[in-house]
Amino acid sequence: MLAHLTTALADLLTDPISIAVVVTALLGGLVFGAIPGLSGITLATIVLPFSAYLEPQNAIAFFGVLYVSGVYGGAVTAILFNIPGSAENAPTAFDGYPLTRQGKAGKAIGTAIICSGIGGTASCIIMMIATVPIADWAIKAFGPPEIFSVIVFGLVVASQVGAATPLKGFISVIVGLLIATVGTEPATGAPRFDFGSTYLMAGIHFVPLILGFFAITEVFVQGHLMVSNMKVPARIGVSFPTFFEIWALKITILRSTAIGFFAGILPGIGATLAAFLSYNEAVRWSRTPSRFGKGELAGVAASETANNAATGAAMIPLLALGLPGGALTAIMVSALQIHGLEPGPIILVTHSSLVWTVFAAMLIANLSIVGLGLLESKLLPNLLRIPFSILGPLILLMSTVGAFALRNLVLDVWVIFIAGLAGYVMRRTGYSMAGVVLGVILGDIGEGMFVRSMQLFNYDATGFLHRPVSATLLALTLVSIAMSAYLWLHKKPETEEA
Amino acid sequence: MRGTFAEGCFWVVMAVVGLVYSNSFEQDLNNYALGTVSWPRALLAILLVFGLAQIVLAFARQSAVHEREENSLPSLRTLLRIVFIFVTPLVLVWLLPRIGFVPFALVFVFVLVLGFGYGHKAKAAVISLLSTAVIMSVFTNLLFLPLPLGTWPGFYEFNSTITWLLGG
Repeated sequence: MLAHLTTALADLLTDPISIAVVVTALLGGLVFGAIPGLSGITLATIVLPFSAYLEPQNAIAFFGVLYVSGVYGGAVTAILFNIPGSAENAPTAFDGYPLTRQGKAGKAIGTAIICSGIGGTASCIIMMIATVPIADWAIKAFGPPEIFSVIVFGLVVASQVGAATPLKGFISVIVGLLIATVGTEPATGAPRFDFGSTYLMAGIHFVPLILGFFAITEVFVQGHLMVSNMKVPARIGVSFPTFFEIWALKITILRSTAIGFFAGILPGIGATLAAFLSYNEAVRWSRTPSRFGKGELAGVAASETANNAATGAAMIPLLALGLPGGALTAIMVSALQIHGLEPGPIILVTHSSLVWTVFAAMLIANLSIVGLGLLESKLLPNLLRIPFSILGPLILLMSTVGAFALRNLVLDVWVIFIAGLAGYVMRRTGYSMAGVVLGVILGDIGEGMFVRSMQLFNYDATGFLHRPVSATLLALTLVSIAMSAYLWLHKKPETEEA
Repeated sequence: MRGTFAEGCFWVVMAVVGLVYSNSFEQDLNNYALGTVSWPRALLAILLVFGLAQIVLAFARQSAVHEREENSLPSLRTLLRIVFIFVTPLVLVWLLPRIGFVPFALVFVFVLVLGFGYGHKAKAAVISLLSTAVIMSVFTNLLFLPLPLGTWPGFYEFNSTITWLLGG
């Protein structure tokens, strides 16, 4: 492994074009991720056609580095503006934004940098050592029933995030899953819920929904507070977390790295579920769970460690099985295909130098994030000095461009604003936007896995219970539902809030 | 309680409408016995159950703690401003494919900056011009992302001219 890594690093660092590609992707992901309304996915979509002009290893290295830096970049807007750059940064906002309101934006961003760097680097190293054996294990242990069960478990966990009651959380997830059914049926392409519109046949993409539910909703909420003279300006704080503050998070970081890596291996699920699961476990294992959601550094650490730990792991199903771990890795599949390469077990043998170049590029990116992020943590909190009456409309405009850039469809622009209004109403009435978004992201995959599972079991649903991993996950799901219901029923009514 | 009851009714109606509409795309599949509608119908059935549960809970739990009780309604002026902030983007999005990106962005930023309470009209106009120019330069000329040019008479030519002037 060391020989492969050394060779790949030498190839990468001695080729000016490779260096330019890595630096561009690193800065592009950080900048695009840090601009509310845009994300690493926006840049990836725009750059994809141009990647045909690059050498294959440079093209794939570009997207690998962009994946790493974009996931981190999205944390900055989540912390500063309560607008996650991507779905996997959503849990970061739960505690990151309250920290900003308390004048601790620098601490939150600093924690996000360090934890992203640790999670991503650890994941990269494990990825380099273990891609082949883990891919073998994943193929044998995780079939459609197991993936479906993980999705169900993950959705139940996410449903309680931000929901006033368990019932509203479950409704949020169901709404997300229903939105995912708009478009075409995955197996046959038969139109569903298109209402006669050819645009709706393309389905409702989750990226505009994320923009709408998080960015647009937040601007509407802040706008409402502003015109009602209720907005309290955030205090600006640029101090970095101390060594002891980070050391106090060591258990959270270790646990989140493990959760992020193993969740990231699962095809189609990746960083988003990793971040939510890790956040949930941080709350569960904390001695002071009531502090979460009010500015707890462990919440930021859990989410950011896990989502970056998932980036390395997501390369395993991508390269070994040809299954993307999320939107950006799906774009990487397209990039490989543009160069005549088909991701799968063969690529690890026939193009091992390409694979190692990508690993080396991602390792460099993870290490570079810490340095660049230090600079960002000093500069970016000053964005809070811009009056929101100017920043808000600019965020809306950037979101419009970001949504349109995805598929060149005005439908996506409509989606962001309608989702923004719906998100505004949902926030006031206690529904979980995270549940809706995760339902949309996992809906198609979940349905596909359910269909395959039923075909496998000859339409006998008890088949899920005959497979140990699947049965365990479904049992955990039921326990989670029961616990949520029990805690809610025994909660004092006057302590609950929308 | 009223809010929870209304929400429950909303979900029930949505589920029923969805279930009825699903008849329009029901198809048997050769390789899948449950057909095209089983998954969405299962979700709609769950939503129907949850909606009914909310209606029942609205009566059972009188506390309805997830409703915000507003101590006082906002003034008419504040209410109109809030509606303005929410509705203006929708109106402008309707205009976007018709007038093209440049007029859309200019009007969008100017109107909303003032709507959010910024008091200086001249500065708002400058911010609007600068932001539109930067976005056009970066996305159209640097990243080659085509933005809408408009379909109404005159607007296509206007947008194309601006794009050309900015180096596109």
